[in-house]
Order: sequence, then structure tokens, then C-alpha cells
Amino acid sequence: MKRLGIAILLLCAWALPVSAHHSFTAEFDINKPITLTGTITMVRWSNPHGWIYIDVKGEDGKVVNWAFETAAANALYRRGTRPEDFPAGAQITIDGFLARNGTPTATSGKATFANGKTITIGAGAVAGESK
Amino acid sequence: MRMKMALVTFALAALITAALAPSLTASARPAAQADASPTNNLPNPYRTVANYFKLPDGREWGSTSAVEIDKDGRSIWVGERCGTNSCAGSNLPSILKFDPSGKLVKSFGEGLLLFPHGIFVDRDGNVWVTDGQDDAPRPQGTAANTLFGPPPGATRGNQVFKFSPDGKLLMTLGTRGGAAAPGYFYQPNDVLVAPNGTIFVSEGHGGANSRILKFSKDGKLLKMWGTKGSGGGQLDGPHALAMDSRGRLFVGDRSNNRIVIFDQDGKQLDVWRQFSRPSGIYIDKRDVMYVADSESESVSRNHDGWKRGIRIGSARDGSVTAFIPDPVDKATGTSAAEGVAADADGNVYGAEVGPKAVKKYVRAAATQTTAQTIPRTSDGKPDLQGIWKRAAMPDFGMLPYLPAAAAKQRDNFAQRTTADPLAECFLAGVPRIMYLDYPFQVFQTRDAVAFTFAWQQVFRLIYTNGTKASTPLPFWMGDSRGRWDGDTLVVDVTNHNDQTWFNDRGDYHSDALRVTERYTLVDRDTIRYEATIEDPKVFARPWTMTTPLVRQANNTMGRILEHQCRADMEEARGDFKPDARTWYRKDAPPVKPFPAAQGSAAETPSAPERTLPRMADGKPDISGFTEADAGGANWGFEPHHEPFTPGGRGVLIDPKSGGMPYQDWARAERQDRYANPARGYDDPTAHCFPGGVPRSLYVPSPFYIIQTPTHVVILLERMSWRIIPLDRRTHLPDTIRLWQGDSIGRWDGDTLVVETTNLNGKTWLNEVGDVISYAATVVERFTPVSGNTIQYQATVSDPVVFTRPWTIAMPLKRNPKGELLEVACLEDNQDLLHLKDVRDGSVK
Repeated sequence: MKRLGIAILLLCAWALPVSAHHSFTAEFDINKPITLTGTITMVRWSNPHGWIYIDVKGEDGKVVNWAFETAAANALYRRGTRPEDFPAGAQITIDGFLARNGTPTATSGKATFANGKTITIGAGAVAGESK
Repeated sequence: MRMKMALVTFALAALITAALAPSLTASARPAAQADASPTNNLPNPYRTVANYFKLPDGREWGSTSAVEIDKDGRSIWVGERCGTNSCAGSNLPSILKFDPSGKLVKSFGEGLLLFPHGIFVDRDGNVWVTDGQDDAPRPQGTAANTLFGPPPGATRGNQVFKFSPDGKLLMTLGTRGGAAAPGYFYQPNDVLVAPNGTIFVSEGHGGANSRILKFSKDGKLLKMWGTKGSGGGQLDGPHALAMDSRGRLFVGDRSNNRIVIFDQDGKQLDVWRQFSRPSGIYIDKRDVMYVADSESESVSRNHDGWKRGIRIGSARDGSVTAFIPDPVDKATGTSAAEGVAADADGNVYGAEVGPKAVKKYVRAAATQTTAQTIPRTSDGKPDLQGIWKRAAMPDFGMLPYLPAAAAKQRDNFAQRTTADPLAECFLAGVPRIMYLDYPFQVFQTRDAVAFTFAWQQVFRLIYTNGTKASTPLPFWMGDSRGRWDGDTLVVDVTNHNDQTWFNDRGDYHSDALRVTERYTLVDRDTIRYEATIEDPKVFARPWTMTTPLVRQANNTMGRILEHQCRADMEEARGDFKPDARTWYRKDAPPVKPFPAAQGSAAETPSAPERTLPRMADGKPDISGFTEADAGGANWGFEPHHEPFTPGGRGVLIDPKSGGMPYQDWARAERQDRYANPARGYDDPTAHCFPGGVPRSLYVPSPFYIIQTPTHVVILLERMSWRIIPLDRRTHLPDTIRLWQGDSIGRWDGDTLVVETTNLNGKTWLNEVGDVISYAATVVERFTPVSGNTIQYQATVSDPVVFTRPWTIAMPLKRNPKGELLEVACLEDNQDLLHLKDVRDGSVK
């Protein structure tokens, strides 16, 4: 991770439920929570997961394009979220957990925009959280 | 004894003929007769349909003798002589293909054939045509019948051509302009290709030659037989060829007023005269034989007393059972059909030289009822339900591309083997899904029509409830809204993405595509399908394609199966590996089921409200958009609170304690799947394969239930379906194994009980790896407890994995306003790449 020169904030391990069509714990690592701020480069509005790509500038000044997995596009849509909510170039802060495969990839919980607006982009709200 | 046997055989043959040919009681002239008396007084059970086939505006019908049925059994091929009786000097296409509705769908052969005479479609669908004349000047004072070959100066004609179904010239037999013995051909009349590919050509149309030529499938001359004459082994104008199911070659020895039957090496087997003077012969798959006489009492006066027309009977025993007479009583030239063919439904087509027409003959009894007796639903709409498949690929021809789009299509074509979305088993889009070569099943209610396709278990949900597309999202399969225009279902398909193609040659569209489909039930077994394409970014103008959809009446299972294109592909290339413990194998030892008494205690749901919405048949209405309140079941059946994946309240209701009743090996397997990140790749849903039963209902994704009196169909948003027949009693044969199994449902009071077997054992029960195998029987109970809530239970009995049956339960919630979206999963599956990295050890 140092190689990537990314500042990773270790968060307390709050529950971050997700939708999944894959074995979630296999893909992402509960022990590696991160929060990154960058500018949106692309949205992949897809199912069963979407992806938001952001350019993140590391401490060494190097820019790395990170991929954050979101809930299914259909789930986001049904919650009122639209692809246009993530315009390219907008600044965004996303928190989530690192992927196990070592690439700049993570799953997401919530996204916060520069103006303070917050959208839950992970899938917890539909996945039947512990009741 | 032998006599008795023969009588029985004959009686059987007569019965079969009576059943398969027009149903008649009279049966004239059984067996071969040397000197037959005229067979004129036979019933005509057919009604004539003139002007059935439509030529393009401005084109007139010329003479025809070549008529044949396509490989699909329904389309009709005709060789047409360019508005007159010869294509010399014309540049019109002479080989024409019509769809079953009589619409011209393909044409070719411009400038190639002078005189299309005989035609044959081989088992691969290739079209063979003989060119029966040449362009040589007729020498003065030479009687044509003294020539063994063409007169000097012939530069074209006298050849036999083999075309691909699309009209590409694949093979030419014979010398350009013709040749005499030992060369060939002169006046080739007809061509026939045996099932093994051997080619037969009959030659001699008044010339001094009269023979049969036999070629290997690659066109090498193997044998010739026959000289001109009327004796045994001789022929005089062998005008027609046909072959019966036993491989006997029937030769219409026209000028001898007889049919000569040969084996495939030229040994004469029989001579039949009871079918009159044969200009054309057609034998269908059931050995019903159709023989056209166009010359008795007109061109020929050595056969007086025999009426011209089409005689119908049996190629097995030679009986003649029906007769369609020439409506012209007195003629001096060729009249009525010279060429004849019959489609898979028994409709007869006669190609006429003199009258310059192709006529269709349909059984009169059938036509009188067709219009009124297409099946209809209780609300009077045409009932499209059943199992269907396209008869043939639509003909795309030259599409009206804008210039830039034409260039892109050429690029697509060049890269088609890899760039075609179907090469990856991606969603086929509309209209392409309608004419893939796989069956689909249709279900119909007042509010919706659902198409479930075998291919990839794709479905289309076409709302017919007056709503319009409600999202701005693009979909691979578009958004379909239907309405009835008289007896035609018109479907407006919008919201397309720009990813799908129309066919495998790279014809494509943009996201501006709009498709208007028209489904018309033209008879009980045929839907006329039309799709009009509008895409101003790609095409200069709208264009329309059409293909018949044909009822799959020979489907005896009452259901379609699954063609899981992607799973099959990944299994074949080793990306998804078998597990001998859970996957079905044909050599799996028999599994002893749990004792019948060892059921799983199901909770009795609270008594249904009296005000439950009900269908017209009195059953509770469980249809519509529904989602499980799944209690985190996709992450475990027992109560769990993961810090990471969704927690769950627990859905296991039996056993009440002790957890899932695993056998030891299966408990260890479950723990490995759960704890070892490398195993995440093995979850079939990570590959976007179907969730199976019962998992498909509690993955976090909604579904839509279609309910008819005979079926409950669950359309899963993750692009799969479960078809639950209520009118079937037995499961599929044990060896047929499916991702979603084979379900049979029944109403037990107000509870729908569904039993599912024939599972393939490839699925997981959830993401944490709960295990199920091919041996499972799943019994689900759907009990409506209020207007929009169904209490759902699933009892799994799997003696390979567990020590006893177990049961989960959860409510299903209906949202009357909900609509399905689309999950295109494998089309953009980033997660599987990550899971593969983890499996392959690149864990950081």
C-alpha cells in the first residue's frame, strides 16, 4: 500500500452491509477500512454492482485512479440516486474497505460531496441488516 | 399366414395414409398396376388460394415449374421465369423465397439462370436449381428431338447450380451452355440430393437424351443410366425426381405416362401409372406423395381419359387418395401445375407454366375454421401462450445505413467472431432474442405478456397495462410496453443501450433505437412476427424485418429447458470446475431419500384474510412485483451479526436449535467456503449464474410473478426465470438437470405448494457457502396472508448433504406499483476478476 502512496485512514470497524452477488468477504478485507478523497472520473452504472472511479492524489503527488464498488445500480435507482448525481470532475470523499487483490479497489459505504451532501452508495439499506 | 400379414400391413398403410394425407375414406388403386384406368374420381379436400404469393410492385408472374419447401418446413422457394417463360435478356432475380404468409423475403439468381426448371432444398438448406435451356440459336430444319446435346453457339444454360440459403453460388454442375454424352447436361430437368449428399440429376426434355446422372456430394460423376425409349430401363423425358423415406428414387417418366422407381444405383424396382402423367413429384417426410399432371389431354394426346391436376396418395403403397383437378377443362398446351410441393402443415403449392402462377391449396375444412379458431384468452385476445421458436433467420438484405454507420458495420463484421456480444453470451437485445435458434415460452395475463427464453434464461416482461416506460435508464433488453391493435399485439420497445447487434454479421444500432414489434397469430401454430427498426443515428430510414414464429408442437415435456450459454462456456474452458460431491453425475449412486415420516415441521401461517385478492379462477392472486423480506438469508440462515456483511435475524425455523443439520463433510465444506477467501470465486452467483432454488428468491433482488390458471412464472430481476406448471404431474427424467430444477406446483387450499427436483447441484445456498446438492428436493409453500404479503417457506430434503430435512421461512412483500429493472450481470462483472486474483494468490 505504501507503494501506492495513499493515505489510508483506519476507521473503527462499523458495520458496512452490502449487496452482493459474490462472496463479499472473499473480495474485500474487513480489516482494511479506508477513506479517500478525489475527483470523479467515471461512473459505471451497472448491476449487480456499480463502480465509481476517482482520481486520488497521494502524498508523493502521484495520482492514482481508484475504483469504489457501489450497490447495484438498480438498488441505487430505487433509492432515488441517479448516475447524474456523480458528475465527472466533482470532488467526493468515499469510505469503504480495501479489496484483497492489492489493486486500488475498494468497496464503499457512503459518499460525501464538497458541499456536504451525503449519499449512501453501499447496499446496506436494501440488504436486510440485522434487525 | 403370409396372406394375412400382407393384409394387415396394407390395412395399416391405408390407415396411416388416411391419417396423414387428407382424411378420406376412399382409396383408389393400391399398389402398382401395369395398365391403370384413370384415377379421376377422387375427392378434392382442398380449397384453392390464388395470388397468395406477392411479388414486388411492378413485377409480374412468369412461368414457374420449380417449387420447393425450405428446410424450415414452411417457407416456399420458387424458380420464376422473369415475367415470361425465359429469363434470357432479363436481369430479374429468378430464385424467390417466400415466407409462410406469402411475402417475398429473399431473391437471387439475376443474370445467371435462363430457365429455372427443377428445384431442391437439401437437408442443410442449400438450394439446388436446374437451368433447363440454353441460349443457342435453334438451327433451321433440325428437330429438337434428334439432338443429344445443345446446338452450336450455346454460351449459357444447361447447368445445375447449388446456392447457399442466402443465395451464394456454392457449386456448379455441368458445362456452360451444355454438353452431350459423354459430357453433360442437355436439358437438365430436375435435381435431388439424397440425405447422404449424393446428387441425382434427370436430363432430357424432348431431346434424344433421357437419363439419370448420379454424382458424389462434391460433384464427381459416379454413374448414369437410362436411354430414350418406352421399354424397361428406358425413359422419355424424366421430368421430375423425388425420394421416399426408404431412399427409393422416384422418376417422373413423363412422356411414358409413368413413374419409375429405382434404387440409388439405377436398379428398377417398380413402375406406377396410377398417378397419371407426372410433370412434378413431391414426397413429404411421411411419404405422402403429390404428383402434378399438366399435360394429359392437352400437350399429350396419348393419355386421354386422364384429367390434369394434382394427385395425392402414398409413396409407400401407391394408393391415390385425393385429386385437385385442373379447373381448365379443355386446353391445348400445358395447364395446371407442373411443379408441386407440400409444406409441413400439408398445404400444397402448384407451380404453373401455362397459367404463369403459383397456387396454394389448403384443406378446405381447415381454412373454414382458421379465422375463428385461433386460441383466445378469456378476455377475447389471441392466446399467444405456448412454446415457440423462429422458423428461420429474418432476411436482412442491405440495410439503409448512414455512411458513417455503414463503416462501423464493416468494422463489426471484420471483428464479428470476437466482437459479437453473443460470443460472450451477453444479453441479445430486442429484436435479436426473438430469432435466436432456441425455443421460448409465452405466458399471458391481462396486465402483461412474458416471454421466457431457453437461451441464458433471459426473459422479457411486456407490460400491457397501459403504462409507459418509466425510467430514463438504458437496458440491454430495452423497455417493452404492449397494446392490442385488433388481434395484433404491438410492442413498443425503447430504452435500448448501444451494445447489442441485430445478427452475427455486425448489423448494429445506437441507443436511439426504437423497435416496434407486431405479433399476429395467423393460425394456431404460427405467429407472424414483424419488427420495425427506427434509429436516426444509424439508419437513413426505418426498416422492417419479419420471421414466422412456429409453435413447438413436438415438445412433449410441456416446458422449455435451459441453455446456459455462459455457464457451459466457463465449464468447458475450466473457469468453473465441477465438484463431485454436489454436482449431478450420470453415474452417481442412487440416493436413499429421508424417511417419509421425517418431514420438516412447517409453521402454519396465520389464517388468510377473507379479503385476499383473487383471480377469476378463485385462487389467491399472488402476481406482481415482489421482493423477499429476506432477513439476511443470503448471508446465512441462522441469526448472525457480521461486522461486514449484512446481519440477519435468522430464517431457519426447523430445526429450532442446533443449526443446519449438516453431515460432517458438508459442515467442513461450508466452513471452508465461509472462511477461505480463495473460495469466493466458487460461488456460482459470482459468475452471474442462476441462483437456483430456493436462493433465487432471497438474493437481494426483486422478482415478478405471472399467474395464470395453468402456470406460475417467477421472473427474477437477475435475469433468470422459474416456470411452475400447475397442470403437470411428473418431473422430467432424472438425467435432465437444471440450474433452476424442474418445478411442479399445485394449490393446497390458498397455499401454492411447489416441488422442485432435477437440480444440477451446482449452486450455493447463499454467499457464506451453505451447501446443497443435486439430490435435493425442495418443497416451497407460498401462503398469502394479507393483500400484499405472502408467507414463504422452503423445506430442503437433501440426503447427500444433511442428516434430516430443514426449513426456512420469510415473508415476501408485493409492491403493486413496482416494476422490474434489468440486471445485466456478466456483461460487466468486475467482481469476478477480483475474486480470481484472490483465488490465484495475489492477496496483499
